[in-house]
Amino acid sequence: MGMNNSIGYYPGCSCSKNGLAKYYGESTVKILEHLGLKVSEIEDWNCCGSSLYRVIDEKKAYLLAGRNLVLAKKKSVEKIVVPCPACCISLTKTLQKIREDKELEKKFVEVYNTGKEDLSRIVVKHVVDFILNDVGLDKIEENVKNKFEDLKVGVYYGCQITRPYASFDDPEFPSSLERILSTTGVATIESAMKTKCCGGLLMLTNEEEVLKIIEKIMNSYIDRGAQCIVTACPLCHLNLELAKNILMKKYDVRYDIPILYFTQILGLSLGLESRDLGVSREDFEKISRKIVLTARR
Amino acid sequence: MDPRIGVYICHCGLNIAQTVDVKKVGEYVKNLKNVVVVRDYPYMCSDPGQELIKNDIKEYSLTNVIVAACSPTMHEQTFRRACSTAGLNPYLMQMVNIREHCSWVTDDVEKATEKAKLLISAAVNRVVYHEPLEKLQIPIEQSALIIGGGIAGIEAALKIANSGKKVYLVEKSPSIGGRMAQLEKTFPTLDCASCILTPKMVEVASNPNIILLTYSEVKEVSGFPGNYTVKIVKKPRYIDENKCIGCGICATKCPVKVPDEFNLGLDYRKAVYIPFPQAVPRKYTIDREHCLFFTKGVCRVCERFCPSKAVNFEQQPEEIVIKVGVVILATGYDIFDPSVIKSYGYGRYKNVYTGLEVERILSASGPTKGKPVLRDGRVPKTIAIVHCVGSRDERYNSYCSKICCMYAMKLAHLLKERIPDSTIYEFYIDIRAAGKGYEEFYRRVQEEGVIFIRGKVSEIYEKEDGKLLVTFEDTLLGVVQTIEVDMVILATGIVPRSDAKDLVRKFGICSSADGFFMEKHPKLAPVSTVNRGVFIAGACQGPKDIPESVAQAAAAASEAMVLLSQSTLEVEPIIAEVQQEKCSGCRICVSVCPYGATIYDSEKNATRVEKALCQGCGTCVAACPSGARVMKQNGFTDRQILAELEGILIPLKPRIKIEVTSTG
Repeated sequence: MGMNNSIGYYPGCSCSKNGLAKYYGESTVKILEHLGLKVSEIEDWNCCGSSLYRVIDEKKAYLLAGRNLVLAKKKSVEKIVVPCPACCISLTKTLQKIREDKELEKKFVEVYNTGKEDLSRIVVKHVVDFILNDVGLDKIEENVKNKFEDLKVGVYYGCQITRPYASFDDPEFPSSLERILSTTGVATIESAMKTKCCGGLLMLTNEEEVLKIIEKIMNSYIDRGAQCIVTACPLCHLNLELAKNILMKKYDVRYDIPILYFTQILGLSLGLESRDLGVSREDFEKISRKIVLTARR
Repeated sequence: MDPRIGVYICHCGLNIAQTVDVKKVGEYVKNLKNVVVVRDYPYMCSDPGQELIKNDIKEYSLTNVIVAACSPTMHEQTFRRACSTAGLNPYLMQMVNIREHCSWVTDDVEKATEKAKLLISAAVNRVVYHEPLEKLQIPIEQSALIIGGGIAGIEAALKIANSGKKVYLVEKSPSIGGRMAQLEKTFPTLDCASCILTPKMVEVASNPNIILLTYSEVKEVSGFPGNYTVKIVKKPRYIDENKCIGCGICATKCPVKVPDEFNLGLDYRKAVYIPFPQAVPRKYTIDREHCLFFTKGVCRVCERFCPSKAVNFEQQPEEIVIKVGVVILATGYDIFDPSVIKSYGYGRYKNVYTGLEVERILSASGPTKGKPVLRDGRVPKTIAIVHCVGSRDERYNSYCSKICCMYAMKLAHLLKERIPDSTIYEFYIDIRAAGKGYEEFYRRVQEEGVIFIRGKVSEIYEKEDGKLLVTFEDTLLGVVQTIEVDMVILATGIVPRSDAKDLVRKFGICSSADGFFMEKHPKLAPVSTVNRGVFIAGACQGPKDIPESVAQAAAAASEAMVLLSQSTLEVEPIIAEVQQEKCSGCRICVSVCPYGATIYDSEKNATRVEKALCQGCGTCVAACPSGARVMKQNGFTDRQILAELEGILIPLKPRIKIEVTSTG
């Protein structure tokens, strides 16, 4: 597998210890550790600037995101694993921009004393990509302890995982998550909405519209019998969780299904404790009925 | 005798004279070595212009002529002929391009004039090393090979055969008929496709000049224009064609069902089959891959029941070698595979069809005998037809597939006719209905109540009950909408045959960036190729409908006949030559020749150049490790090229020196 100590982990604000998606970050680290992979958090990392800062000051935005790459480089990190798709795009875009834009590269040399030659060996990978293509399904299958019998899982990618950099999967009809989750025994629910936008930050300014979008997304899974929905993005998770509570009060209890990170389902299947993975007692009860223990050979 | 050179400078009206000072050029050239006469004239290519040259050749006893005018591709032949009529070997003439290379590329008179001077000076230096060359005459084999038994191949075969020449028609599937045989009706006249095609298929089978080789493929091609040797492999049908009477008892008795290719998998055929009822030849074929005897060693039911004892499980592939003078490629097209467009769900959603699939559904001989029903047996009441699937789309093919708008509207018309209470939507980018009666057909379909929505479908979503939600942008209303339909038809574009590249290699032709075969000239040689004896017809050259394919087939047949009507073929002598006694037989030239013209002779341990095949590209000459000692390119010998370079560089030399001293 070519695994070595040069794998860095970049949590980003949302998946950090104080972030809204801290359980996504924690469960990611837990499963990677459980699978025997040594990942070290990039020391003194900072915000990736997300997509918004670039709109205000492009150069500074690249320098901000790029600082993380420089820090990683100093520790000889070759691969950075990122759970948040927005961070992943920010870092990838910065890396790409340094390669193409001579002016920006000059600035990097000026500020950080680091140019494209130094940074070119770094690869930024979303955790879905990393688990599927670097860790590999064989390795996961070897370590699966619990199989979910007949748990119907709606697989929701959101818009950003394969866009705009569709380096590891089809941008319109990805299947990576389904393949990863197939090791856990769940039945994945297909929806044409799986790569639709969750509304993103529009939730802050136009809740009504976002609710319409999410209602459609959730219906597409629940109509097909989904008993929970998994995501691989902090913002998707947040929006679905928020909308679920509103929709539940407004219409029906049918929206009352667990919204989980895919790493939580995978972690449970690997035999990790629900509290270590940040799965709430309530959610755990709903899905644990579907767990059977697989006898280890 | 010293060389005596005449130089002729053309004004080309104002094309040259406006930017190149022809008088100044003339003054300069006059003083060059060996030049005995210099003239300029407004149109050198005109009759009086040519007369000037002819008279001078006689009067001044010229040994060489230089014409400084346009590109040699334009008028080299004209001036060669003029020299030839005046008794001068045409290859002692050299053209200098002072139009495309001088006057047309700059407005700077001084620079253009200087460059013209240097180019002529180069020619003056070079031309004294020219040698008289003779054109070669090569006999032509009086027969044609046509590859592809679709409507284009059929049409070309009939035309050539009816003019009395022998034709080999090779088709890789068990029957001729091609794509047209799969169609229900043809736009815009709504003729029944089979009714107009099958008589032609029968004619092919009965024409004594046509040798029909179905279930056969071209394995190897060698030779040159006028003299090709082609190796064809006839795949075993496991049924003796001479004995089979086409009764079909074998198929009735055969226990194996196989998805039917002709019906695009919408139906089943037997392991022993004919592709469709009107197949030509009406000879059955055993599908080795599925036949129980071949897969499990049992059954042989067909053999038992065949009344004419035609079944022969021992049959082997048969190799046939033929000699032909010309080749016409009419290999047609493949359908774009829409399953790569994930958002349309083709292959995942059972009620999303391609246009050709619907064509089969609507056909009287199709899987539902022409009844318009879905896979689940329901009659669709709302239908969405999506245009430009895989065409005019940067992600897949940027070209327009040309036929889809029309066939999409034809399908709408046929569906409306058979399901009068249906609602049919056509989602289009632009309607392309440029053809005789096409725009009128568009109008007619609109009047029949088909709803046209200008905008692309962004995605299709399958509901639990199998109905489809189609999301699109109506660009005329400026809104994004979603409608629910029972059926979606994708008007898929057309793409080159998957084996097109292989044929390009075998026949030494070119393909364009999109993969279709490339014509020699888009306007003036539309069915010719870079290989003089190979022509192309139909959709293998690019998207085309039936009338266009038929017209091209006739054009290709006529081009082929022009060659076949001559007994010999004239070949340019500007080709490579080998001094066989000095050749070491290393065969590097054999490996680099793109035309297969350098041939190794093991007896002599030396290569030779097959004159008729050599295109004079010079690759072998450049690659030969012994260089000019062994290989020579007529018209481009080392001596000629070096002299030409000197002609440019020597006049420049003093000026370079001056510049160096002034800056230094």
